[in-house]
Amino acid sequence: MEEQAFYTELKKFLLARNPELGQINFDENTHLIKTGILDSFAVTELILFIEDLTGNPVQVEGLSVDTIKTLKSIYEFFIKGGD
Amino acid sequence: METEVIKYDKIEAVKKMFLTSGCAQISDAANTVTTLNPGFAVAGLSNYSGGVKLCGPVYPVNTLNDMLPCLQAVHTAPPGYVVFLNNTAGESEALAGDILVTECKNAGLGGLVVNGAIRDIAAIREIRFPVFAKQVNFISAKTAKVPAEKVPDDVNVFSNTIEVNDWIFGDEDGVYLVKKKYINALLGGVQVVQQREDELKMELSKGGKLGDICGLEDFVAGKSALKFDV
Repeated sequence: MEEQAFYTELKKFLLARNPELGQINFDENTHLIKTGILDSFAVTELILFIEDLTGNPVQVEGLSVDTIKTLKSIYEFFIKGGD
Repeated sequence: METEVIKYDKIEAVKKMFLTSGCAQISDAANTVTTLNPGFAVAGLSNYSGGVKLCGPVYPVNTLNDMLPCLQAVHTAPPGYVVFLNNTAGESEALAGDILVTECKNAGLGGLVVNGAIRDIAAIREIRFPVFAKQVNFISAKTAKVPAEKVPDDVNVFSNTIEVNDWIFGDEDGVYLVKKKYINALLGGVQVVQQREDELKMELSKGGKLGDICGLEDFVAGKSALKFDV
């Protein structure tokens, strides 16, 4: 999946999950956890979203807080890492 | 078994992840998935495992106070699977004791869950094999006559359906059932929840105060969000 398209879809997911984020400006390098955009409880939902988006089960071994800290790190772990 | 048998390597990998976490973390990771129903707590079961954690894909069977379906399930369940005996009788006689539990252990099964009664509790604890049950009754199920219509078979427990290859986890906190479709995503969530808990505990062990770590005062003053996501 193309990187920018992935970021767009992921932002839509995060905004749908938490509409208050509409006030926050964030890009692929924004720290999602420190800014409160994403919490650790939401990771299951995030993975299900990515599986739906790609149509494939994702690999979760080695998943850590670091791999979900930015949109970029999520792309690199789940999409680029799965190529 | 007509349905797919989950590979033993996969079961071992899941077990390895579960050993470093628990049912509390699984519940945390599952409960925020508001639009789906990835799993549920299997309430009302007591732990007779002697401290051993329960983990594995489920191999369910229904019985009406009859030992035969129990023997069928234990005899045919693949290694690593957790046999789930669902007694549909109103009052359960003991469907398992130390002999059946010994057989489960010898067969390399992942555990035994009985929605009904078991007996020989002291001996079962000595075996150190994951056993959870709803009741204790020293009166054994007397018959072994009516074979199960199907082994494995779906069972209905507390308004929920448990199917073969769903995953079941148990520890001192309770028993949690994860629907097979969601196991991968949920394990990912559990790893991150556990890591966040470990980080928090590390800060506490260094003398940090929970209120400071979470930004309690700023939150109460309306200045920032509470940084407490575990």
